[in-house]
Amino acid sequence: MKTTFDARRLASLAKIALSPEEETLFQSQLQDVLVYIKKILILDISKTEPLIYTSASSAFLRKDIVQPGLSPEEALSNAPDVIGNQFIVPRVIEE
Amino acid sequence: MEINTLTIGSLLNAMEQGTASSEQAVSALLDFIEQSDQKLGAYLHVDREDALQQARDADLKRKAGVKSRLLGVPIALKDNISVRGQPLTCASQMLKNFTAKYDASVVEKLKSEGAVLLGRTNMDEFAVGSTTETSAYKITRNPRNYDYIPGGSSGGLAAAVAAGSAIAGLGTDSGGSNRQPASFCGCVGVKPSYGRVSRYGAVSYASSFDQIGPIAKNIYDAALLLDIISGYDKRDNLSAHISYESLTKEAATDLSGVRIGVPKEYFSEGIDAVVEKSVRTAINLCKDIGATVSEISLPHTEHADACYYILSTAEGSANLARFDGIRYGHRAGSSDDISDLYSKSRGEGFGAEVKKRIIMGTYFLSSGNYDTYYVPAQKIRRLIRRDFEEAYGKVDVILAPVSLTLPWRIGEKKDSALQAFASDAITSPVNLAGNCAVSLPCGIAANNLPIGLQIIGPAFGESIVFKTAFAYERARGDISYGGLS
Repeated sequence: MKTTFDARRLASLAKIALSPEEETLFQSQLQDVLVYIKKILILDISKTEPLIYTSASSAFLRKDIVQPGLSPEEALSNAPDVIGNQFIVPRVIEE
Repeated sequence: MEINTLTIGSLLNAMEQGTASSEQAVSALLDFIEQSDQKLGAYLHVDREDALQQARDADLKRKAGVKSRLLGVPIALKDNISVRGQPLTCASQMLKNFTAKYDASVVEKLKSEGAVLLGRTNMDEFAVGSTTETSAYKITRNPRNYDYIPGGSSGGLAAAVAAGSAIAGLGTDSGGSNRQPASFCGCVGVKPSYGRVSRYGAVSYASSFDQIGPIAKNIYDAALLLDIISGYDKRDNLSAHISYESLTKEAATDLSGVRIGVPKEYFSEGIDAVVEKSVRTAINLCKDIGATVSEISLPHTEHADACYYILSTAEGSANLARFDGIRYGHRAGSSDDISDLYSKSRGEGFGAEVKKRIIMGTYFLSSGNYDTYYVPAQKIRRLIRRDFEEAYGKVDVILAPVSLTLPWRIGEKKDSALQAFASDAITSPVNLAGNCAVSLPCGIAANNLPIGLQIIGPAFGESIVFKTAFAYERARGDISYGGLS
């Protein structure tokens, strides 16, 4: 059972850059949260099934056919950087 | 026209009788927003000319004989509900310049009933929080006492409704975010049964918890709005295939035959004495008008806050992964490569509380912790739902406080890491179980601070919840708060 954690490593996994001050603050605050949450681990839930959906439905799938959606112009309109109908991104593949 | 005290019902009557027009009402509301919102901070976006034009169009439709349930009625929206052509910031810098490209399902329904979309209200960033203090843009104040929080995350909407700068509106409730601010501000907040209202067009935080619901000045207005926004939508694949009876027809004056359960765990150590007294007085009033009242137990209540935190942060971390600076949202000015771009964009665009929740969600889903925290939380969720199911075998509705405490001063608990747990302790169980609940005013404490009563029903049990709420509201009578701060 892991209760120690490394806020910096987790932020890196979540792709969030933290300032040094945030790293220190979050490490301390979230450690307190984990201590509090430990209380659920004392329950005997060995014979209980997980509950995934509370809905009366269960995630119906639709047929795999094309549905109307945003036009290319609409899809691009909020993008920070575009050329033509393409989103511009920094280098993805290592040289 | 007394704009502050207008309700949907009274405005519709006035427009039908010809004593008021939508343009007059909307114009008066807009003037009041301009006058009050500098201090109140309820709104993030109001387009005066657009709202007035919608109102004029509604007046013309009325003259032409169009009949629809909200024709000309101004409705405010929490800023995480999508309206084509309007901003959709979720109170975050991440979406500072974002313009929505489609209407949410609930917005389509409001428009088809002739509503005027009045403005977009402040909230905790990405609906993460219970004070509205995490908004990246402004603080919202409690209109009953400006030194105090309005609650959250739908705090802007609740403050506007309570202040009278909105007649009613739609917010979202994932762990109490409609009910708690409604309780703190002295108005009505609804968390519908999961699956009753389509989530299409609401920015997701925790997908198995999020529900859109009304905040209004009285039960009738809340019932009317919920009638309008309920229904199956194929674009929300967990939308329930159920037909609903109208809730406005549940108006009752007595509760004969209604069995009320009062869960002992919801009056635990830590409850403010004034809150307890006020809520128990309300329960006794329900007894006076015919209900039978009995104590019940929901034994896994004490684990609900931790369970909700684990599951909602896990789901939230997944939902917020889409904000990467590529297709929309904030993009960092410089970066070494794509991974660096993601990290810097998200580090700059998100506020502290959102970052913390994403980090925690990532932790709970990571290898070794998934089986330690996430799966057990799903199992405890089943136990919490089972508690409610067993209770509803003996009672029809459950009455309880909304919050164990009164609202607190702005800034007082801002740095408390554990505040989230206390705030959600007796509202999140309803979301965990997928049940429905209404919060409505039941008293006032010192400093003019409102106290709310929570009426909790089984999944798709809105009829009995609203019947109880209607009857209690009528028996209670009006509550006179002190003048607006």
